[in-house]
Amino acid sequence: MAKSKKIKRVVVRSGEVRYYRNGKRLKNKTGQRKWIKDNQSVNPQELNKKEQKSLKAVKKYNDGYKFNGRPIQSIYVELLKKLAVPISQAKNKDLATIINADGKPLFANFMDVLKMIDNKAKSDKKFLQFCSEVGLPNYRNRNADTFKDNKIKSVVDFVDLLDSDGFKTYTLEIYDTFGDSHRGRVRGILALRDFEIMVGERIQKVANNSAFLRFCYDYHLNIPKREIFIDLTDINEDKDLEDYVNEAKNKSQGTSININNKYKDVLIEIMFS
Amino acid sequence: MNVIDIPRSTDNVQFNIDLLNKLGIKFIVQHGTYTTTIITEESKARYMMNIYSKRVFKCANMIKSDVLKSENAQQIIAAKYLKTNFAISQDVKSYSAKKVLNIDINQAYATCLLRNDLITQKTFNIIKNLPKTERLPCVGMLATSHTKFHYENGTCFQVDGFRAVTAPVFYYLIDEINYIMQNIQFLLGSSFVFYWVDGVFFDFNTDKQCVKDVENFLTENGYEYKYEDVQDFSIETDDKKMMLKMIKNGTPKQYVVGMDDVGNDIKNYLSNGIEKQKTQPNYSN
Repeated sequence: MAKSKKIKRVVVRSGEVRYYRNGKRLKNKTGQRKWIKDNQSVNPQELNKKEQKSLKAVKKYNDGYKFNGRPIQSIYVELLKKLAVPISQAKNKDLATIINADGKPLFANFMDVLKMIDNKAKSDKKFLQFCSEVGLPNYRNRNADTFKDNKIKSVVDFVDLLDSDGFKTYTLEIYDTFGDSHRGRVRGILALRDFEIMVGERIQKVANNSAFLRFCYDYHLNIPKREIFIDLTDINEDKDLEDYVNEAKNKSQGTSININNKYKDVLIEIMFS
Repeated sequence: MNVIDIPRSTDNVQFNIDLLNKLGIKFIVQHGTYTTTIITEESKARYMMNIYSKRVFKCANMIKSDVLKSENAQQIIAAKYLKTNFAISQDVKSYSAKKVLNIDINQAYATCLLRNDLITQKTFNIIKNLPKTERLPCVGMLATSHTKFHYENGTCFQVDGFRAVTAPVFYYLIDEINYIMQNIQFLLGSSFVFYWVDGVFFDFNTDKQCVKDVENFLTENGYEYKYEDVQDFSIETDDKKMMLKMIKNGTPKQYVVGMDDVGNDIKNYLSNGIEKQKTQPNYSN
């Protein structure tokens, strides 16, 4: 005789609910999930609290959109509607069932949904802003500028910034590690270059396995005077740069560190192989 | 042109610049994060933080050559790709476990180049046979950028920025691998813990079918992968940084990652300042 897949729900004298299949007791969690799935039309009043919660979750799942059976956040559906994707075509509210003009699935994988949204956000600032405002994952607190470039991460980024329309008329001033001023575009950038070479050399001397190095400069503006400046003054003379690196090295292998309290306006990120 | 490779130090670079200035020779200093190159009409002195073998540059040139011939690359270069690195999930929550599952994609960027017809099988095989420490620099050289300092008559008179024309292809690779990771995150649902570049960490007791779905997804998309032994895994996060600790294949690892949003306040302040400047009279006059 073929085995029945039907799950039997039994309330014992203590009030505890147990689930059985073919006479064999199932784990409470598994039994409850499967029984609720098969009995969605049951009166919630007849269920215990856990079952009511489970029933609510099943109904929410049925009512919500999915991708290959996995639930997706409703914000993705809202955004796809804005992109004129024929959401109504989705069978059982599953986006993987939407077919394109060639008769093939419009989205082979969930990442294709993300790609479509990202592509629109890259070309449409309002759409990007909307994604950020509704808190779409990876879009929170972002704006068009942060997409373009969030920070000054190298000298070449800084050259680009100084050449941009907003800063063309600004005078650059860099204070080196000793606090000496280097004023003017060329002198300032030369000072940044020398700073990076000096830091790289000192790191390499104590850790020849440094695999990644990045400088994130926090620049400041004096708008009335049209000045842009970075202060690289050594603010922790009691501790050498080498000490920071050695400390990280001693902790473990494969370590990465951020040094943000050695030179005033720069965060140095180092990763070791 | 003669090319010599020298370890980079302030003294080494400054000595050469001073010498050329004294001799009144016209030259260019190309400065990048890892390499500073001094170029005269006759020679090129490359001051490097990490000295790579010649095969790294040879392989990087092969990649670049293939990319420039690729039709797909032309479209990528013409399109807009984000420079900001999103190769990390934004909403990371603190987590710890004695054991987690960890899948790492093998040669992720090289495979992505091949799968998108950006390089030939021959070039892929060469990258594949390089040690791990050389593979990323090879591909990373697609996004070479540096600052050029022009010297004449003993002084630096001009500074320009330079970015390789192939840089968008590198950003595209980062995007593509990030999409692969986001798809895995979606497949894993609540079992997902964290991903970073080409490795994903998830609950040790993840449903077997779920794990199978992830494996099938990678295989169908042409990515080979391996499981790593990860124990004593923990993530601690706050607004500004994330600290990741684990014992991977018996070796303790610790990483501190700055969150992307750090610095946003300054950026916003700047943007506001510039806007204000445009609408107000020039104070300096």
